[in-house]
Amino acid sequence: MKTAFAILASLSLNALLGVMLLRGWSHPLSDHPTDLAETAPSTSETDQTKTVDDKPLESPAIALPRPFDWSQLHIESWTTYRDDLRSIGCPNATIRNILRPLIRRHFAERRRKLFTPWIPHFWELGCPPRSDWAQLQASANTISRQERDALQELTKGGNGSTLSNVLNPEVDSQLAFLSEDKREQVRDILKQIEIDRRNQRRLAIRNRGPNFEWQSKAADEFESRKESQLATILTPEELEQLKLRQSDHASLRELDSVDLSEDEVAKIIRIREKAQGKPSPDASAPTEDEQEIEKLLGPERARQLKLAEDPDYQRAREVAAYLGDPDQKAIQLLAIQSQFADMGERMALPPDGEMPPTPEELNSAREAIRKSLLDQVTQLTGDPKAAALWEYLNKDWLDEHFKAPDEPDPWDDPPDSNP
Amino acid sequence: MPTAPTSSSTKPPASRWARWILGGSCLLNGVLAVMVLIRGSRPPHRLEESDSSVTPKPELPASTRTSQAQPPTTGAVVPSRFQIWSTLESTNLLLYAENLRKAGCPEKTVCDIVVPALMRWEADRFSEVAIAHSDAGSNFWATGRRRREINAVMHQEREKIRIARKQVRNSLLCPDTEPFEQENEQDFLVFGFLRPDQLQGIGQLLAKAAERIENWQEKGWGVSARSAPERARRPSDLLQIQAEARAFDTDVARLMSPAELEELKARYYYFERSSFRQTNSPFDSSGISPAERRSLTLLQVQAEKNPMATLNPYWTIWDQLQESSSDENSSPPVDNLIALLGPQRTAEYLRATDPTYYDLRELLSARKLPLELADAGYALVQQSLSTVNQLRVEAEQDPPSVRQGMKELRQGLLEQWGAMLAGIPEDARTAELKLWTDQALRRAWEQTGKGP
Repeated sequence: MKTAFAILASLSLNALLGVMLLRGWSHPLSDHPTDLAETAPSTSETDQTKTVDDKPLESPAIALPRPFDWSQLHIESWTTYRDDLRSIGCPNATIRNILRPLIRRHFAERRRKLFTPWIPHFWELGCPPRSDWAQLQASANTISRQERDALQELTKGGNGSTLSNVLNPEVDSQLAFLSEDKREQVRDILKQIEIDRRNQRRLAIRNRGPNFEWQSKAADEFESRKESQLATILTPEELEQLKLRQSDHASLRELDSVDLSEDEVAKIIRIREKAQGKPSPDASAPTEDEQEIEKLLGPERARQLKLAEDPDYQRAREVAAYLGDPDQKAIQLLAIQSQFADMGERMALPPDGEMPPTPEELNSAREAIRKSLLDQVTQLTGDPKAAALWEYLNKDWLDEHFKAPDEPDPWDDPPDSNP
Repeated sequence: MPTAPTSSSTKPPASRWARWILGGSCLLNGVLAVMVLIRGSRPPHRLEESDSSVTPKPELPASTRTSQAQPPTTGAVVPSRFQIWSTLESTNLLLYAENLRKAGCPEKTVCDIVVPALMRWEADRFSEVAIAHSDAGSNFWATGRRRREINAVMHQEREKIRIARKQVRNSLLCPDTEPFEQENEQDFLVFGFLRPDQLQGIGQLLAKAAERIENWQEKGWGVSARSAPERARRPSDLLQIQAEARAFDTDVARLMSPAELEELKARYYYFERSSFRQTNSPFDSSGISPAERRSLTLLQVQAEKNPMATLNPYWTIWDQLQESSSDENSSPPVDNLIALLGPQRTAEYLRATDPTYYDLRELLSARKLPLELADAGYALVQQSLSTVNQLRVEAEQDPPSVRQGMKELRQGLLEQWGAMLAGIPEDARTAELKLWTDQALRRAWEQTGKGP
């Protein structure tokens, strides 16, 4: 009798182990990406979307048999789907990626139902009475609002969905010099300040509308708050480095046609920060910061810096880089450009005693100069395609210099006219 | 007395068989148990790859991973419920997709999960490259020759990352060309009259264009210098971009009959430009029929160089494409308008589309003031047009006297308009409303300068 029991038990165990092994083989966790094409999904998306509904359902806790299969998730509603995904450890960002297209398709379907009957009647919608269009648009707006709310509602409470995009992507590179620990602390401070700034601005718009004075005052307040909070984490040197990196003038570092030392860049940024907002007494004379930079770099390198920062030169250099002689050809291109710009300006201001050209005359003369300029560029580059690139890059410049200027208002006092 | 048998030879054969069966079964149990254990102890996915290609391998971005811990390699056969995702997830994105598929995840959901992870992977790698080569330490401030070297290295590294991303993207089996997914009101109302195969054709053209544009953007076209410091733009690229952009328009046209194309252009233009929003003028509410509305739109479309400019995605890298469609109000020839609407309604139409008139209506509407004021104000400006014309003729002879004439005209207009606005409560926007006559006069002066 005992033996019979033992045999029965042993055979049962055989069967159980066999089933376990077989089930394991039928759902292996693959490590062979080459099987990709042979694997058919067990549930089609169409089937899935058909059953998904936006009405929340109470779902029983899932008792997961082994191994895991997607069909064990309750996809009957977005909420149960989300909860089940959370319960198996799916990160919130991934849940968002899974739910967003489902929600989008669901609401697109609702829009389809709303608009499809109107497709053959498109032109009627544009005619009075326009109540149909107004009603359609109101319904479409409601659907859009519900879609936004559904996504927000379903993914709230997850990891960083509202804060993740608050900061400018450049902040990462600005903070790269700090230790990881400090970087995180600084990032938190900057994020919080940015959120507060946005909230305050939203409130101001709602209450009275932001004006320049308010914006300037608020900016100062946030700046000083930022500085005092950062000072509790960073050393004075680190704080100074961060200020330099976040300066409006930090783009100086991107110049690739003039060699400046790190110390020189820092000094130039400080000079420009100091001079910011100060008007120049005489437009033709060098400004205070230009003079200081010249003192710092010497006249020749200051001139090189000015050239390197000139957008006309940067564009000329790009064309010249293709031709294999960047610096020389870029300067030649710039010279041609400047010569023609002068010609264009002189045209609009005829010598004393002569009649100014009519707008039509001015336009045709400018067009002729423009063509001649393009011919010269082609000649210099020796390649019509390079000239086409130059024209593409200089489109705004050409428009600015070779289009008829706006006529002065006839009731304005002309600057050079006789009283 | 007989004794009980003691020798095994005396045991019944059935008992021996039972022992053999039990023994064999126990042995099988042992083998099966070992096999189950071996299977259970295998890691659910491999972290490392045997492939040692030059290009970096896409790995799941750390921030999206469930857990930073290594997956279990021994012990538990079945993970706890909360650990299930970590058994599906892999730093190898192809494996991640495969695990999801094997777990029965629908194909579309696999793509919805893995494609964003791949994009995130690329963005994170780009950021790492920037930090490693350009942003950390003193490299941040490198200019001139050093900046060029850094940019060149970064360009190379980014190219490798892009290649790796594309390889994985191609292997994911996620469709590149989506059918034209109708999602918003424009998709349904403007494109809805086309057949499904035509919509799919447009979808494929858009997807192909998106892929090509991405390729051009990687070469620095249509992106800022900051995003692509080491640009590789070539003049021949420009010609190619222009050819592709023109081919897009031709290919769209090929998908449909001329009549369908005409209908699409009309609907597109009407929705985009004159649109359902702008039509609260007396002309629009004066009883235009659907057929007239369509014919009028077709006249407007014919007057435009490119009525569907924004449908062509190449404008993002070749902005002249969009410019070919004039920003100014291109008006159809007046004779055609009169033939369609008759003289009186043509005049109403021209007034309704004149910025001088509709700007004023908008100003009044925004302040909830009577819209009849727009008609009166517009009539006032129209009355002064003959004076403006006359002054324009005299302008070449005696500029100072023209200036004086315009000053007087302006003053007179301001006074009359001011009288019409009497009684309107003052606020920040009253000045804007009062100065509307200045804008109208300036526009009139410019118009007369453009000839007949």
